[in-house]
Amino acid sequence: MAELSALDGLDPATLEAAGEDPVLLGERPFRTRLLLRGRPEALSAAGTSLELALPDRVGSSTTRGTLAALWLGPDRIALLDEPGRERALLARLEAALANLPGAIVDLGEAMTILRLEGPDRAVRATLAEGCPLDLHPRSAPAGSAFASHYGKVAIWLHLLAAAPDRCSAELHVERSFARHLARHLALAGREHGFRLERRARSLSA
Amino acid sequence: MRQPFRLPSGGRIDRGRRVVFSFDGRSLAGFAGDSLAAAIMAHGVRLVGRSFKYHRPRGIFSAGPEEPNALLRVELGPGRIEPQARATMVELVPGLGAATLSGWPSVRRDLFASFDRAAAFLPAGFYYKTFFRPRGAWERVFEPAIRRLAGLGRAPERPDPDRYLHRHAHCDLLVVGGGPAGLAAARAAARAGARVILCDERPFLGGGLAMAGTCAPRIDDSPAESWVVATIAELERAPEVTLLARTTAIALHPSRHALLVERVADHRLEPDPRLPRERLWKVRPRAVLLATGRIERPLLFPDNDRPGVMLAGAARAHLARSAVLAGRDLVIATADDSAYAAALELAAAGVRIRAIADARLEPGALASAAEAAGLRVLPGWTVVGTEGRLGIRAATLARLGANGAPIEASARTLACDALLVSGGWTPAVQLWAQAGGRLAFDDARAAFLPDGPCDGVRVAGAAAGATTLGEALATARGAVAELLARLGFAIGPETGPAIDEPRPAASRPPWTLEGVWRRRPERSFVDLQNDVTAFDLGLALQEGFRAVEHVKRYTTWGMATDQGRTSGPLGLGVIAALGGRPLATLAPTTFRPPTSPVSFGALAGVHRGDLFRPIRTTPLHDWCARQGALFEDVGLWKRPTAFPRRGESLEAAVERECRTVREAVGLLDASTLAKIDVQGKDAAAFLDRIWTIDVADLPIGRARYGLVLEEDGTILDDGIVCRLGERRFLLFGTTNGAARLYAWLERWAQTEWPELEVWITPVTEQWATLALQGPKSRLLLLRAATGVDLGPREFPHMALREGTIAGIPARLRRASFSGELGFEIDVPPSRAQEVAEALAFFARDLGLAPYGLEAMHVLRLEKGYILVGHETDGTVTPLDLGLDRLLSKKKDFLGRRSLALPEHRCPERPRLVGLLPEDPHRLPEPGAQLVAEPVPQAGTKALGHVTSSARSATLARTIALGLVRGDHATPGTTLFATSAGATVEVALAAPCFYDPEGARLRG
Repeated sequence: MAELSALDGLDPATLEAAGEDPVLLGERPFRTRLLLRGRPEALSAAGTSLELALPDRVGSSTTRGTLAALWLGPDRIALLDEPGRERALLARLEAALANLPGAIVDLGEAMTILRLEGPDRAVRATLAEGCPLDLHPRSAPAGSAFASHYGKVAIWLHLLAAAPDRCSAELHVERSFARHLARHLALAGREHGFRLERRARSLSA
Repeated sequence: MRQPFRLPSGGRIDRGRRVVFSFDGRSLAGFAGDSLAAAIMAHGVRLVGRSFKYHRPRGIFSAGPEEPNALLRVELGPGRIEPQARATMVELVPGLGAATLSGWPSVRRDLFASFDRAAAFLPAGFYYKTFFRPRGAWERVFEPAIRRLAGLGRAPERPDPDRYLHRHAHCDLLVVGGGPAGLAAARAAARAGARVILCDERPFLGGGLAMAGTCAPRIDDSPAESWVVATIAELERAPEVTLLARTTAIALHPSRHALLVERVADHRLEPDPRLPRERLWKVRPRAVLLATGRIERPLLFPDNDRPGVMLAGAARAHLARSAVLAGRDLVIATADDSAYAAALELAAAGVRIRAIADARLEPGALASAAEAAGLRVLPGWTVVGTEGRLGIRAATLARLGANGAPIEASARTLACDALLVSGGWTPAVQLWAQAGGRLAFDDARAAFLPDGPCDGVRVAGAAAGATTLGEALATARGAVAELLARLGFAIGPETGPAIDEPRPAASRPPWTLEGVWRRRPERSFVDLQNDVTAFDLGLALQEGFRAVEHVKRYTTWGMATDQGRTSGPLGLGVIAALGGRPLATLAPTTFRPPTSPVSFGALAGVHRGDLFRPIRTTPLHDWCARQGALFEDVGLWKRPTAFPRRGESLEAAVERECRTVREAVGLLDASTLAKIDVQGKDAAAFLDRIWTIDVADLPIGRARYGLVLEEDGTILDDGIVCRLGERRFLLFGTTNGAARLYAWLERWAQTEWPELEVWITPVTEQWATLALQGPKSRLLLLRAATGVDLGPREFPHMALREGTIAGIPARLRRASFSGELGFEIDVPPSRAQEVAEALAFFARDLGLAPYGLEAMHVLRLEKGYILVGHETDGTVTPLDLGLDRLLSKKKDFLGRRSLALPEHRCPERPRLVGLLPEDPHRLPEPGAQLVAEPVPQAGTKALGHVTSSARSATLARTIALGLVRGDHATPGTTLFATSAGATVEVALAAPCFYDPEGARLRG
């Protein structure tokens, strides 16, 4: 079987810690992930073709259905969707950008997603152990997205909509760094109770 | 286990929890809430160490972070060792083991105590003047011996079993110091809605108010402690306030970036395995309020260092916190009013106070209170000496004459078991100075105070020079209002509480009692931790050191781990007095982070062991491991070195893998090669400026090998440019150069040529890359691949195709780094292992084997292919390597003009050559110098060096590449490759040993 999960091979016994309402770490591989680059006219054309107003300032994201766009830089937008949508999205965007100053790159398999879920304070505290951004809910409400780093690893951080007092954070990370990141998160989340998500579905392709 | 110096009641300890610990092997008991120092004092233990240089007996001197003497080895379990802990800052927990650091065989019977009698021969600078020869003896003999004698403790021998974390934090206001000023400021900010972090290095908040007894001022007609408790309770309820006790601010950088070390676990009576031991907070506050308080100054007089001599405020704190007495029979010598509070509280606890010698003629109101309480106050008197061996037994007091010198005839000696001293207080301004704040000397307080602005940082309370609680709270209100207003918070006008406290009289700085310490300066200790006396400072001045920083370094005054908290102001005063210079013209020595010792664990955080740095593995890693790969580090990556079979040596495995590639087909995991996607209308134009080869005329579906040069013409990286479309390219670079190449491209695109429409994206991890190399590689792909015409003409060398392998979409490239027919195959990482399995299946009868980096190196060396970092070293140009054919003549590119410089074309430039050892079994070492004589004379300049070497099974001999001066690089020349221990005779040859026509790879 192919190497699919960054969490494979991690020993739960050494990573998990007791807790009533623990911080839960899971993986969300194979998400459709495109990197959209371009000058404003290209980004605007891309947004029109996707019927999605693209985010336009640091920390912001926009969504339409399962499609999400994260602002990563002035000419850099990440487009995310459910697994398997990359071909259709690519085709649409390539057509939209045909003669415009922009580019589109498929990074679906280059990265994976580690997702932290749990009590709002605990998840944000766990994130603050490695991420230098101000993650107070005032500065980083649900829906925020940032290009940043966690410890020694570059990440895209996406705070998803969540129930009150809960937090769900996705950390996009290059696949070769994912295992290191998962272990760092486990150490950071330990005092809040930390558990690896039991994966019900098989990840075999 | 009686505790003769513990009161039966009182103190802020939990008497219900007895805590057993050990001290130098003795089992002792204290209570939860004790500091280690207080628990030791409760048993009447005086002697806690021998001094650094003279091995003089020393005792507990303080009750806080300024402690210079009571440095103990503290053990909390296997591997949990603090080699040099301040006993005043360690909280007592069950099973704690403390041990003194110095003295042999024991701290009581120290054979080296005689050093004290030889003190006259061991002045400042003694080391520099004595141990400088013979050469090398310092490192080997003297330093190890001196270190052992100095009693600095031993490093722990076992790995630290604890965990450490780092926490990033942001807030509107960081308050350093949890005394009254800090608490008041934090509360005002919290009420305004600001996000506040407050830290204090002690285990409790409240500062001086929490270390005082009945003499503490009253606030709004209640005990000050009620105010403290109420304020803390309000802060604990405030949702945006983080209170951090046991947290030391170790650094405040000029950008207001603050580093705090929180001691999370050591003090817990019941350990919680989920908690880290310490946490380093990296705080980025919008504003900082420093309420760091003040440190009491000792007095300076002969034999002022005996065990039993203690700061008066410290004795008061030990009484207030732990109900522990500094002694039962006290003499107090002061130059400040605060000692009277200590005297009154200790007297009320039943301690006999023989006399209070006050160096001032007019003490403040508290002195009258002391007299009213029946204590004997001696204005105009001071202490001039002490007696005792392992602890003080008597103190000698004398009246000060009109000239400030003690009158010998007045001297009288009083028996005592402790001497409390106070020479006034010094504001703690370390962090202010670190942050870039200026200091100015204040005559009234005889201290350096914060002066002028410092962006977003203010100081309040005693640290700002406040001498009363009322002043402290007022400065806090003012400072926090100013800071918050700048941040846009509205702060209501708040009037201070009513405070009932006496107005203190000015203190007399201890260094002005010159007549006292000048009597025996060699026994008047300025710096207790580093054993520096007033005599030493005088000697430094006499030897011509004028700058305070130089005096500090020559004498080591203020250079101990206590960072001169008690010795700094004394030393400055002595330097001023001896040099006849006003103190205001001197400046304290530079305050540098960290303010207090920090554990290595706290600095490292999680990044140790296998989390020291990320370990990157490829999608084929597990597959390679199953094939028996040995791995090596290449940057952060793990890559296979070779795949030795059972019983096979590494050398044999490499030989076999090379043969496999030359004769059949080998598989290399090339996933780590840098892959960079370049798109845009101007992509071709952009790459033409970067790469040495022509890119614009590269047809779609074809690849070209070329170089990337620095502006000076030297080689930065090499790699392949693939054209995927009219405006889209894929670049392949070296594994190690990936980040550098990407940064280089972005730099030119962003800063120099922003007008070009080009977008650059690293996509290394989007694809796994398998290299199939060898004469049977095409045959294998004919079986395994579909949808691609593999014929030599249909799929020529350096062409790109798309197809599928085992039904998995794949991108194929005909490329070779082995000199054989070869293909590189990119597949989605999630499918890479399936592809590898499929290839292995189809190659059952073809002799396919995986090969590693060692074989790859041999194969490329046989072909004379350069490896960036081996044949290049940042000084080597393409001309040196004979790669002129890669330099386009049709266009300009980075580095081209530099290559036209005559210096790059002169005959002395190095030239890449092949090296054939005369003895085909001997291997010249990479890095070996190439010289003309087998035994060169000393001073001979090398003609070049060996860059790579290998044992080639194919050629049945050793081969090497090297760089040799162009005017000595004629083929056939004999040179000698010399390295430590070996000289190998080599003949120069063309730098390609195998299939120079390239027929095999074009096959």
